[in-house]
Amino acid sequence: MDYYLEQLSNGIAVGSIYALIALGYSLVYSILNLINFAHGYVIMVGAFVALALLQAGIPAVPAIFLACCAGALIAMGVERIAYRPVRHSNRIVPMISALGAGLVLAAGAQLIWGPEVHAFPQLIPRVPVEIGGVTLSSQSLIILAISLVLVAAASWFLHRTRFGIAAQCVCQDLATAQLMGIPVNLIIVAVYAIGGFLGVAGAVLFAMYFNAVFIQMGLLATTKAWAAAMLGGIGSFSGAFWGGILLGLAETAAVMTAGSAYRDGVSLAIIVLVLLLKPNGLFGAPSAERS
Amino acid sequence: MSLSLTSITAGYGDRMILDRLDLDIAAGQRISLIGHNGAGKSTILKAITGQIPVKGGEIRFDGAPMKGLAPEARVRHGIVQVPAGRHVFPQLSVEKNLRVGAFTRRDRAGVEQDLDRYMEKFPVLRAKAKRPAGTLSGGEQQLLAVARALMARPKLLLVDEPSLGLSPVMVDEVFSYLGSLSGVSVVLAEQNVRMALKVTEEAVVLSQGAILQRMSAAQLMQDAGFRRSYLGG
Ligand SMILES: Nc1ncnc2c1ncn2[C@@H]1O[C@H](COP(=O)(O)OP(=O)(O)OP(=O)(O)O)[C@@H](O)[C@H]1O
Ligand SMILES: [Mg+2]
Repeated sequence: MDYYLEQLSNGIAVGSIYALIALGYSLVYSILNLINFAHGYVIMVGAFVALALLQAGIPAVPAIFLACCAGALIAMGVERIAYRPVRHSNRIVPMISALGAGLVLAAGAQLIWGPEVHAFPQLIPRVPVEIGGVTLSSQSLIILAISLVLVAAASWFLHRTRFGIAAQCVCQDLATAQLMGIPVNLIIVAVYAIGGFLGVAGAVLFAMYFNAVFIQMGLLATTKAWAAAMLGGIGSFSGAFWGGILLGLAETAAVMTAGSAYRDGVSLAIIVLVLLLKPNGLFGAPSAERS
Repeated sequence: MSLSLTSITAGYGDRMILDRLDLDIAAGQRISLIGHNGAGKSTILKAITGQIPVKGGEIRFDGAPMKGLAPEARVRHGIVQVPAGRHVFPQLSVEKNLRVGAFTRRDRAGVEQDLDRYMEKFPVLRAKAKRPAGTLSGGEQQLLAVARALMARPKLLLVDEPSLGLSPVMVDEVFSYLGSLSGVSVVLAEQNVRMALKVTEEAVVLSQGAILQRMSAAQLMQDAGFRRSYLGG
């Protein structure tokens, strides 16, 4: 019994990381209606930046904060260079330019940090904690707490502030948002920045949890964000969150029953299944009037 | 408020729809744009809001040239459009849709007042204030879209095909409301000619991107040629 509860808590913790990664991805997807291949690569670079700053002796909290800011800046750069010029083109064009931006980031990161897998400093203590007779890992609990705080902050920002509501409008209907006087270019850049910031936070937690940073994290993170966002319903904030949690649980279940080699296949299976069976996601409102 | 389109040429890509078109609208005027499918009604509205670029000629609003201004910047000048097909923000609540209409305003008290005013005017919006706008009926969404645009306190309100997909009862409600507005100029692009002429003083008849006629709505209703082409006799 204990074993299952511990696995459950691990699954939720990993899921909360995916939620962080999926949020920005999902918001950007809903604006552009495309698969943002660059997202995972941006946050992979952010994780490397965090590693570099930590190795340079900068204390953990400022180092990670700076890395998140770097992620925001890179995401803004990607928007400016790879999206804005092609935003009005045929849908396939921005998708390819996103993939191109991701590959450039991967090549750049590989030039700097090399192709090997780097260990990531374990900043979060990994000790057994007993709660109500059940032993859980302190790491999972702390990761979950950090993710939840960040998700709650982002949710507050998106749902309660003027700026956040404008961002929702841009996601739901860009042309109409513009007719309401919302400065869409500014909002789109900001959405990218927020996505980059949260995504890097997720990538750093991911790096800690699996004790690894590596170039291929880019594609891996994009795939997981994609799966989580699809699962919960693209473009929906709570959907991305619950999609992330479910993905974490599904992966944990796959690892428990089939072995850890199956972890990364789960997101691909989910993408295919959701596309086939429930294109609007599990909680997806029928995607209203998106042309 | 004054709007002047001087010899404007505009269209989509390389295809020009409006060719050296002139149109002036004065303060408080209510004008219908009448014309068959594809006559260019929506295209004129898009040129005024800046959704499509103007390739030749000039649009001035209150004397200021609009060239190069994005739609959101024109809203700040007082030009606001109710888009065709309503386009409320489906996942935002009715109330938030209304608040978004006031995005460019800074007078908080005035915004609250207007919010109250439109909810008073359209009780259904108050009753469903917390519901996602996507759950409203088509007619309710149209009322919301009009009220949302008015929340910006526009000087010029552009309305594209508000009768589209509405029941006759809702058409009546929407149009009589548009006809009752004061202190704002209105340009109404509409295929439902009878209704449009009822609530506007003047009409512009368009065909293939050019203006055929401009006269008072009452006069136009008497015009036999016009009645034959647009009212079926
Ligand atoms: N996005 C677009 N791209 C290319 N051509 C367009 C586009 N929108 C409209 N057109 C063309 O421009 C011309 C004028 O269309 P417009 O939409 O202004 O007509 P309308 O008078 O509003 O008609 P309706 O009553 O059907 O709305 C038509 O020939 C139409 O095919
Ligand atoms: Mg039209």
